[in-house]
Amino acid sequence: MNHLASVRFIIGILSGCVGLLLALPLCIAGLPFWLVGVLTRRLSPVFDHRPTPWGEAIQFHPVYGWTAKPHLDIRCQAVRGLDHLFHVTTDANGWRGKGSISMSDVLVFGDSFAWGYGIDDEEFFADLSPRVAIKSIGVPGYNMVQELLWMREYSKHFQNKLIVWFVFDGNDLYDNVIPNLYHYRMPFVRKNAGSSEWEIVTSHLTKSDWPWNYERNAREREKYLATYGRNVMADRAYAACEYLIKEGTELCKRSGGQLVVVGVPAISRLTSQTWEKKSRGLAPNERLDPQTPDDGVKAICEKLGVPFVAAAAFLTPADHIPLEGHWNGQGHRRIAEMIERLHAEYLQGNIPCQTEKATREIGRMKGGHHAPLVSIGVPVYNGEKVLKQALDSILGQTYQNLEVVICDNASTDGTEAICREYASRDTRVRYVRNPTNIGCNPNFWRTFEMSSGELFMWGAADDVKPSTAVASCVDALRKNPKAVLAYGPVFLQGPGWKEIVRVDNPMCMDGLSPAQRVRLLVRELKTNVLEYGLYRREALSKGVYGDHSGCDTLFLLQMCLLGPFVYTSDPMLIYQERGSEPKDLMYHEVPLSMRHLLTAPPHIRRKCWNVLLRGVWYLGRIQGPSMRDKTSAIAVYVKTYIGKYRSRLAKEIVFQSVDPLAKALSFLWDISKRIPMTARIGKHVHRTVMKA
Amino acid sequence: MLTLPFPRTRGALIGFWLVICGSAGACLSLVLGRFMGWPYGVGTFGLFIGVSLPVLVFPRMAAFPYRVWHFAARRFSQLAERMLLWISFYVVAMPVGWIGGRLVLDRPAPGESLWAPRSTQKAGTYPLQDGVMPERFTSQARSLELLVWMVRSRHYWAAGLLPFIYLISVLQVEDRPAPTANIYTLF
Repeated sequence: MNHLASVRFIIGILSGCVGLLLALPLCIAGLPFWLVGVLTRRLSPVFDHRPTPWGEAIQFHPVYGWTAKPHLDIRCQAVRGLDHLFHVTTDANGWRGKGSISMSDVLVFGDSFAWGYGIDDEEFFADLSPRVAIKSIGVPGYNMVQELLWMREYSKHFQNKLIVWFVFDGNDLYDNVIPNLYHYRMPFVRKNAGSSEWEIVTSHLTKSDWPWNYERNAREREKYLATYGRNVMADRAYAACEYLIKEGTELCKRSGGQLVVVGVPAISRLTSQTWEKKSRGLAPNERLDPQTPDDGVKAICEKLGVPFVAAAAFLTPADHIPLEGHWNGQGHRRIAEMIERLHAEYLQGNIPCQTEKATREIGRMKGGHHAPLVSIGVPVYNGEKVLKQALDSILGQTYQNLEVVICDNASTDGTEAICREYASRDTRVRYVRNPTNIGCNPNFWRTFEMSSGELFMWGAADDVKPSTAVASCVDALRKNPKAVLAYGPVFLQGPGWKEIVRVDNPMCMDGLSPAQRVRLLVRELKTNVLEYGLYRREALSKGVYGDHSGCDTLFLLQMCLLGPFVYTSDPMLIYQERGSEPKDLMYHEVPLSMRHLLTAPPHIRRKCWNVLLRGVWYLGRIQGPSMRDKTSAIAVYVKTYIGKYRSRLAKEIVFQSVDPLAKALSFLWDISKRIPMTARIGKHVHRTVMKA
Repeated sequence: MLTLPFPRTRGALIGFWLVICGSAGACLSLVLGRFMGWPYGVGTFGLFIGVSLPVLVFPRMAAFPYRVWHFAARRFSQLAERMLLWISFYVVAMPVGWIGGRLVLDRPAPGESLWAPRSTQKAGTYPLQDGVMPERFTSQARSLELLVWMVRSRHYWAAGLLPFIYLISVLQVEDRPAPTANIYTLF
């Protein structure tokens, strides 16, 4: 190192130190930002939702290859195009969507499009329609063979339903040539060597992968040729497609359903630029036509007499997730609207029914919907004077597909004879008698346990139901597949009342989150009589009906967390009040005045606190909603409840926390009640003396 | 990097709020504990922990503070980066230049070229034109390159610039990977 270099080194180091000294305030000022940034980055992965690997969400099935696991509550990561995870839940059968297969108006079969790949549950097309109950059956990667196999599985539910089959012009078609998607083994069709008949092959299905992986380059080229080309592979793919659609059509004919095929376009053929890119590099004799799938499947459908809808007519690239290719939220809304229109045309007869039986059935049933079994539980104890009227009103409903379960709580009057008479007269009535009296609320619950209908409602032994009560509630639940309870106005009637009081308690819960529904219920609930509404069995079985003061309100609270309530304008019930004057509002039956707080029994003196704390407990333990929903609901419940009943809660705190003082005040209250009596006695004595 | 993760995620919101509440609570409790008694300190810390916990259920409650902090950190980074560049040039480089040191390459001999032949690069050396940078462009790699250049060319005076390269790397604002600060960024 020469002299100049040494000087420059020393100057450089010294000036560097001076510069660092000057920069020191900046370093100190930036230290908090740096620390917070670093720690946030370290903590962030701990609290972020982790994507569930696809392999953990599916299970092997010896016939279908693989199915989605039931009761999933996971977050999936899209292969590309999405920078967030999408939330997926599945029902007991492994299908997405909140509806049930038996209660739906439309059943959709398909692959990842029918499964809702890439979007959260809230945006899934099957749950978007308020008017039509849609149930979608499909798993990503399914081909037409798997979809047909599932149709066979569920064909017993096809009666009077619209069956929509999504035929994607991707793997749905080219899996008829190359049944290997991401090395999974899947069922396929082939022509039997001996008879030249088509047959479905499932014997090769195992958990292990195919020994060869036909993805990427070779598959990319051949799948386009098989789907969009005019060649031997395309002939094979469309011939197999025709066989599968024909099988589906015949299946629907046998089962009383109506099949509609919907051609689902790949995003690549909706954009000319992408299409040109896909076509690049192919030989001149390998020309691809983006209209081939729609034309090919439409020709098949026309030949078989099956309605065909090309979704390419109304879907645009903006309805898809960029780069990824599945429908986004807007796309799902469009699909839901399309299915609604199809269903409306089906009901109007614009889509011809394929069987005379189905035509007759639809004509017979007003509205064209299937009739689910409705169970009505009638708990009774010594109700001989009023039971006949209640049972007549139930059996006289316009909705006929009923099951009436009477639970006699060891009555000692003529109730048993009445019930047995009705049971012998009408096969819809079942009579169960408890050997001993098990109490009121357990008997209510026993009626539910003894029933079997998809829908359930209670009918008190002394209340009367208007003839259209059940029909209107069933219709309301059918129109709103997410709803767990349908209810209507209630007429209150009592001995000696001058007029019947009508209680309307409409609550619009459409589109509200669980926490918002809880807030609305706590604020707006006027009468707990709406517990006599019509429930979905699935929701009802998750609730807990306690045996304490306020249990009815808390039961409604649990139901509200599970799903929205739907209101019908038709009267639901004529409720027989026991009191001598109209008292229709909740909590007004025991006014928590100072006098009542002194004289009422202890469980009434702490009723509001009981309801508050038990509500938290019930909301926390209910099965079904996510932990986040439950926590939000509990927070909102506590906040809203305290806001609404703060004065009563305060009173109860005072009288419960200072119980000795309360007892002393209670004693003084008793004394004070005697004073006027003493005065009157004294006055009477004084008058007597004066007279004397 | 002084800024927070962006776009923010649920985990980032929760992590940020816990860090802010935890650090603020720790500092304040130390101060209060020192001057008013340790029960006050412990109580204050507990209070801050209590305030921080709801974010586990409602992460969006931290969205506004997160945005404010991110904005402040971004502005501070931009300001500090300018000041550091000013210091590194006027305080470090200029005195070196005054005494005859110049950042010029050695002049080639007549007929000699400065161009060095380059072999064909391996596939994946440059994954993208922009955006994600390969490993050799990280802050540490650049500093190492500068160190190697400094030793090989005997420009030892450039050792005074190394801390500034580190500091400017820390002040990087954009979350997307970008070329980190190096000797060419400075001058």
